[in-house]
Amino acid sequence: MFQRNEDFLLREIAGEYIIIPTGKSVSKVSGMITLSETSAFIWNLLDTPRTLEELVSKTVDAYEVPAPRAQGDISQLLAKLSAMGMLVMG
Amino acid sequence: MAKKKYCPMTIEHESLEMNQAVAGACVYMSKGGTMNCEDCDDCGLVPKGSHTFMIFSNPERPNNPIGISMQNAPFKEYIGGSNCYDFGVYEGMVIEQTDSARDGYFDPCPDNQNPVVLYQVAAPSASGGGFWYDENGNIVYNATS
Repeated sequence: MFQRNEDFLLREIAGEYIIIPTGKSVSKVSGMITLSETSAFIWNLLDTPRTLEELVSKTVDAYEVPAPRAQGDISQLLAKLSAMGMLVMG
Repeated sequence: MAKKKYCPMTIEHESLEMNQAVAGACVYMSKGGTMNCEDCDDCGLVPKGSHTFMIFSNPERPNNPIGISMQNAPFKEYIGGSNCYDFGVYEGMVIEQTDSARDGYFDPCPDNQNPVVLYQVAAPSASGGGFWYDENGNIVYNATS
């Protein structure tokens, strides 16, 4: 199960999806984090614990993308988010 | 409902340097920066004393930075207009915080006690006026009226 770290807030600014670290996360991740639209879509889904299968299913329902590609992309995104401390394991 | 066109799932992290002055913080304006406030009104979004403020620039409009203040709810968004340059916004400046939305403006102050909240929105055609937006993009104050 994957879930986002609530210390990181997503804001849409001037057409860009910007993640802002807050609280203790600021000391770990400084600077600016920018997401693409589909990455932001996944981020928003992670407000509650999700399995990879759930994320893939919802992405395929919303976007014109085959499931295998969606799964690969989502897996890579989750790995990056986890490496940056932006996920909590549900 | 029609499906949206898919785009690659990217995440970009740009590390930025941040200097902290004794009573405030320097913010690098060229790309953006974060500043921790030691004197924060408890907005409920971040722990008191841990206040994140980010400001970054649009490369297409280098004199018009976009700032996000985490001080006080609702979450305010700043978009600088032509007045930004007149206010003396520049890379590495030390900024001071005010509590009043009506007084929000850039004010270089090396001895500041309160890092500045930049939430005045200057309309491109305004001369000295501006708008304040809430987190939903609704105008909450119109200085030009």
